[in-house]
Parts: sequence; structure tokens; C-alpha cells
Amino acid sequence: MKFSLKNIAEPALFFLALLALWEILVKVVGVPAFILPPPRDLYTSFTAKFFILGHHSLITFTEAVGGFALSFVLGVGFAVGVVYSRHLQNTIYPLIVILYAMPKSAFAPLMVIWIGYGLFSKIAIAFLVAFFPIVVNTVVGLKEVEPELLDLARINRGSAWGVFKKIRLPNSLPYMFAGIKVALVLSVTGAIVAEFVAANEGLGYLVLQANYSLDTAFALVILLILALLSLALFVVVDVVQKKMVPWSAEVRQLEGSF
Amino acid sequence: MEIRVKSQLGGDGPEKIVVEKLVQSFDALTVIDRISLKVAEGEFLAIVGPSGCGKSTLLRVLAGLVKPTAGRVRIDGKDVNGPNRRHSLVFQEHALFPWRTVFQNVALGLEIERQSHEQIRQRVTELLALVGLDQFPGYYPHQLSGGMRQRAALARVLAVDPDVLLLDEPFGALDAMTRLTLQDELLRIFLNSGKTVILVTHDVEEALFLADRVIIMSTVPGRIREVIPVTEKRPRDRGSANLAGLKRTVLGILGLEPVIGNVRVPETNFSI
Repeated sequence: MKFSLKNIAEPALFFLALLALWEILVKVVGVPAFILPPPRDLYTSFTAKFFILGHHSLITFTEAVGGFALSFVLGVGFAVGVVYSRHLQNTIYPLIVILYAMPKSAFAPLMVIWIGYGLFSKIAIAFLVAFFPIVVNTVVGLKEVEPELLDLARINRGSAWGVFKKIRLPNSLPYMFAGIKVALVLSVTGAIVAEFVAANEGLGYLVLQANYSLDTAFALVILLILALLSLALFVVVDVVQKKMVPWSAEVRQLEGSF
Repeated sequence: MEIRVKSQLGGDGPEKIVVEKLVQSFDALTVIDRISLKVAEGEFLAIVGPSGCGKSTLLRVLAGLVKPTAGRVRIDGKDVNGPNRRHSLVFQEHALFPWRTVFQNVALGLEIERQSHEQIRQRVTELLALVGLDQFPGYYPHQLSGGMRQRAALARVLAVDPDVLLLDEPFGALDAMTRLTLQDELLRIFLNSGKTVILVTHDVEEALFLADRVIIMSTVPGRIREVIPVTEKRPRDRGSANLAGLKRTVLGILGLEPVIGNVRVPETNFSI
């Protein structure tokens, strides 16, 4: 997508109109602020609690990115293992499939028992939800190589390492990036869910606090911050992808999986 | 009116490729059934035949990518027992690496040979000029037209200077105009290089325009049905009466002869 003035102006105008409509409707209809506060309240809440928001955002960010980083390293490593080893495919893979079928967020209470109350139980949940899209996409990317390219490697007497480095790995990159994008957004969700279950800091904890005190404006602000956080991560990956995978005109997007 | 010779060496050079009673089966299916064939050094051989006649498989055996079920394949008197860059294959689909630029794709074989950057740069530049891609070294395959991709694939194979070129329907996916241009260029490269070329194609005119001999294969199992020598001097006139006559002969053997008057009832057990 290209960012021309026209492309930006249209959505910007739309959102401004939406905010205006929201402000007016809330006033006219007389909706109580604890059900739906006007946008102006959101702004006031945001400026008043800016530093609190910053502190807790950083915590959620750390949990999400930490979980994602772990899932990336272990996920890619595991994918390579599954593609190259029959034994791993026969043993660990079925186990992973069973895990995959479980709702990962249901692990959150257990993680508190196993790992504790702090940062690492949140990272563990973020890791769990982000792991699968990375594994699935990377496995497909490593496997779905044009057979002619592999023939070519044989003609040129490429070593197994050469085939991995020069063919399978670059071939998997577009798939891997599709998985990374899904995984990053999911890892934020995972961190929030984990904070819901047991935490005394982070944006998930903050949302609960806002709810308890019927501070709906603040809860909405936190949701917007979360959206921005996910979007920012997404954009970063997109930029890296364009740098690393310039050959792929349109990168095939695989099914995002939970 | 037609010349039919079961087997003879085309060209003047010594034997380059010798195939003896080659059998290739996959599970219960026999794809190639006792094919014997000799190709002279510097000869241009074309193989035509209906889909599924095993002509691509034959190329893959010659390239050493498939181990023959029975029989022998020798190149330069040595048994082919694995892939080798001395007899390299150009695929139906260009098979360029999407993550490498045109330059990097052509440079691949030279990189593996660990040539110096300067050597590689020189050789690749030379080759890109030869196939008419000198303006596009930094392009990725997806930014090129089908014809340009196939040119790049050709340059990549020529880079390692193989003495046998195996071409598997290299122009099959191209439009008619591009195909004619690339045929001319292949011919030019062939005449200047003295390489031995085996071209598998669906296009009878292409085969007759380029080759010293045209082998016609039959299907299931793949056998050599006829060998047609084309003696006309190159460059040939695509519209010449001689080529037209040969084309009629070939199509007739394939069972696709156009019915003109009551010349011949086409056989029906062939499909192309």
C-alpha cells in the first residue's frame, strides 16, 4: 500500500467524523460516562495518567516481546528439527499438535502455580500463543521448495548445509514473516490474558483496576494503547521484512492460527 | 518422399552420448522402455512426442538426476552415475532463485566453483550481454517477463560452460513471438559454442528449425518411434517447403497429420 496524501486524508477524515459523532451522540442521548464516556474524557484521562500508562505499557511490552522472542528462537529451531529429523516428527510433533489443540490462555492459572506471579509466567503465556504460528509457517516454508531448485542444487553438488542455507532458509523467509506478524499480535494478547489472571502491574492489570472503579474512559484509553502497541510491532516487522525479503512482490499470507 | 532411418549418428563428431537399452520405471509404471540412442559431439538433437512419453524423464536420466532402472547411459565414454555440471539441465519453468537477482542467479555456479569476484563479474556480464539481459542485472525474477527469465536461466547454465546442454521444453511457457526470438538466440549460441544440445519440445516446428535430428517418441511406455534427420543448412527458413514437408511427416507419425484430400487417416491412439 502506498501512502499518498489522498490515502491518509480519507481515513483521517473518517475517524475525525466518527469522534465528533461519538461526542455529540453521547451528549444528546445522555449516556452515563461509566457506560460510554465522550472522547474528550478519554483525552483527559490519557494526559492525567500518562506516566502510569507509560510504566505499565513497558511491562506489557516486555512480556509480549519476551514471549515472542522466545517463541521465535524455539519455534524456528523446532521447525528445522521437524523438517530434518524423522524422529522429532514422530515423537515431539504429535505432542505439539495436542498442545496446539488446547486453548493456550487456559494455561495462565497453571503458569502462576508453575512459574509464579511475576514477569516470567506472562512471558510463558505470550510464548505459548506465539509459538504455533511460527512453527507452522516455518515448517511449510522450509518444505515447499520448488523441486527444480533442489535438482539444481544436486547438479551443482550442493551440500546439505548449502541447500539449507542457500535454498530452504531463504525460501522459508516469506512464510516465516507471515507467521511472525501473527505471532507478535498474539503475544500481546497472551500477555494481557496472563495479567488478567494474576498480576500487579501491566496494561491487563490496569484494565481490571479501571473496570473495578468504573473508570470506563481509562479502560478505553488502555485498549487504544494496546492497539497502538500491536500496530507498532506489526509495522516494525513489516519494515524489516521489506528489507530482508525484497524479492517477494506480494508475500503470501498464511492462515493465522491461534 | 520421407526419409526414415531407425538410428544413425547425426553430425560429424565422435560419439558424445551413448544410451543403451535404457529402461526407466517408477513402481509398476514403465516410463521408458529400452531406448538406445547415440548423439555425436556438437550435435543438436530434438525429442518430440506426446505428453507422458517419458521425454522429460529421459533428460533427467541424462542429467544424472534419476538412476536408470536398467540399461546404460554414457557420456564421453563414462557411465553417468550422478548429476554433473558438465551436462546441465535447463528446466521447463525457468527455476530461478526468487531471492537472487538476475546477476546472482547467473553467478550461482561460479560462486560454487569459488571463482574470484572479479572473474565472476566479468563472466556474468559477458553472459548477460550474450542473452540480451545486460540492462537487467539487478532485477529479481518476479520483475521480469517470462522470456527474460528463460534467458536468465539459459545464461545460468552457460555460465559453468557445460559441454552438454539438456533443455526441457525451455520455451514451452512463452508466447509465440518470444519463442521465435529465443529459438534464434539458442541457435546462435549453439553455432558459436560447438556444444552438444538435446532439446525436448512439444513444438514440431521448433524441433525442425533447430535440430540435426528429430527423435519422435511414442507413449506408455516411451519408445523411439522414428528418427528424422534434418539436413537443411542453417540458418533455416521456417517457411521452407522442405521443413513443411518434414513437419507433415512428423505430425503424420504422431497421428496428427492434417487431413488433406485422402492422404492418410490419422492414428487415433495419440494425444498431445
